[in-house]
Amino acid sequence: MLDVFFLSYNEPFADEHYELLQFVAPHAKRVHGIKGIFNAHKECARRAMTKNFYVIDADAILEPDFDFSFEPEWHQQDHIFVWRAKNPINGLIYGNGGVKLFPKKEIMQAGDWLIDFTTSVAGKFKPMPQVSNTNGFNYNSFSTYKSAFRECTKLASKIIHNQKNEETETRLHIWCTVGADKQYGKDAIRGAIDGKVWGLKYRDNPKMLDKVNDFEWLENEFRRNT
Amino acid sequence: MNLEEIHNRVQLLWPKKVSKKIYLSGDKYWDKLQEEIPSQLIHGLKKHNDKIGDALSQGQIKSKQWLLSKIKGIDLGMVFICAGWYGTLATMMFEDENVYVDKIRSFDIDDSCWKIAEDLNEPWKADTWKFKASTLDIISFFTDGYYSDKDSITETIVYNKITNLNNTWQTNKIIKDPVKHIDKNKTYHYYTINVKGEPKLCQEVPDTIINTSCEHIENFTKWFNAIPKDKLVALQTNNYFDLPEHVNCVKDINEFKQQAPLSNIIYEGELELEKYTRYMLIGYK
Repeated sequence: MLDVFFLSYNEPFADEHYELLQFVAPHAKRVHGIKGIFNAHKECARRAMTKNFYVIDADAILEPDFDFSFEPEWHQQDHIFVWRAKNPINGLIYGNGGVKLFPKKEIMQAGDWLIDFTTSVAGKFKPMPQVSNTNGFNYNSFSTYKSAFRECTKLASKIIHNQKNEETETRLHIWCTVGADKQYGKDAIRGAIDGKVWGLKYRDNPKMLDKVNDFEWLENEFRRNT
Repeated sequence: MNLEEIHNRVQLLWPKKVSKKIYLSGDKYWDKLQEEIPSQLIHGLKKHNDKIGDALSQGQIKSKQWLLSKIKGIDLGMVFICAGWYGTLATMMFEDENVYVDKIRSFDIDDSCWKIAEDLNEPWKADTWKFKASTLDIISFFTDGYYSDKDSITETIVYNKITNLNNTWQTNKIIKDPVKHIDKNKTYHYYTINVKGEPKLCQEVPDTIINTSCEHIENFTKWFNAIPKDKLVALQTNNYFDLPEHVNCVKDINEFKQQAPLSNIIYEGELELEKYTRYMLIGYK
């Protein structure tokens, strides 16, 4: 059985979601309050006792039929596996916000997050067809804006390894236009449009693209554009 | 269909799984096929090949595969397939791991379709009616928000059940203006036949509406206008004017867009087939 880590920062419902996760994965450990995505994943890797470990974000709402039983074959133990998540605002279903399975050694050795470490490791990214959860990122205005901005910067800059242009364009279009009537839907659309502009503007500038991992900067963008 | 015609269709559906030549015949052919391809379409081809041949013609298969490739990765929720014929599209949707549906309802005006559609989709019908096929006229169903057959007693029952939901129960009153009483933007009411052969009232809200036979719809504008705003819609038609039953063909994608105006188009395109061009629109109404 592989280690499972529950990543929380300041989500208001994190305690409740952690308790729910323990019904499915009683051995799940919690990594809480660590600033920066890269640092938080490093901490998971540091605490992992198994070669590979699962990470689930605090805002994920697990599907009833998802368990953490999958273990990679020996030749895929250095891969990153990403399950699909449902977007509650625009109905998209793909890897954004899904459960992930990381290799401990590779995360320990990684020097930086490269905008999106999960999908930028050439040839080592394995999308899984099953839906693991609903991505419950729309719990307040800023959280919704932030998630939409980050994802649409990645889509617009086409930074994701092996992405397919038409599929990426469709996802981007849906992020930017669908779901205004849903909870914090307008924030999602605003974040998506701003993120798209940012991604297109800095598509050849990794340093500027990496700003999406600086949540203080993102909050300033959110306030500035409110 | 002879075995060669059947094999051509199987090849088109699963090009990587079957050889070009036929090495077996009779039951051995089917046994081997069912062993290698665990699909309900194989079951359907074996049992109903005299009926579903046209529904699985080269053009139909390519058109359905084209649709699936463009709706993958979107949560479709409850899907109403209008003019669903023998339910082959529903089977293809259920069997595609990239297509996400909660439930599918297949409607066709031809009463000979629903039993075959349900046989083809038996595993999902058995699974708490994830699939259900019904005979009804989609034009009046969408414009009125309910459907029953022309028997006035049944109609009154439907009316009473619906009006009762809205706290406006009026025993045995004949419907004069049902639209006023029905929240058609939310719930659709219709009868379907259950496993005992009895009518069962269904009250359902679609998230996605699919119609891949728009060329057959005589009152297309009336039907399209009745689709509630914001629903996800996937439509196909063609420019195959030569067939008399094709009463609603278009000359190009622009004409189709005028005929079916969507507020947010996710995909528009055309597919060249042997005898005609197929057009597709996917988007929010």
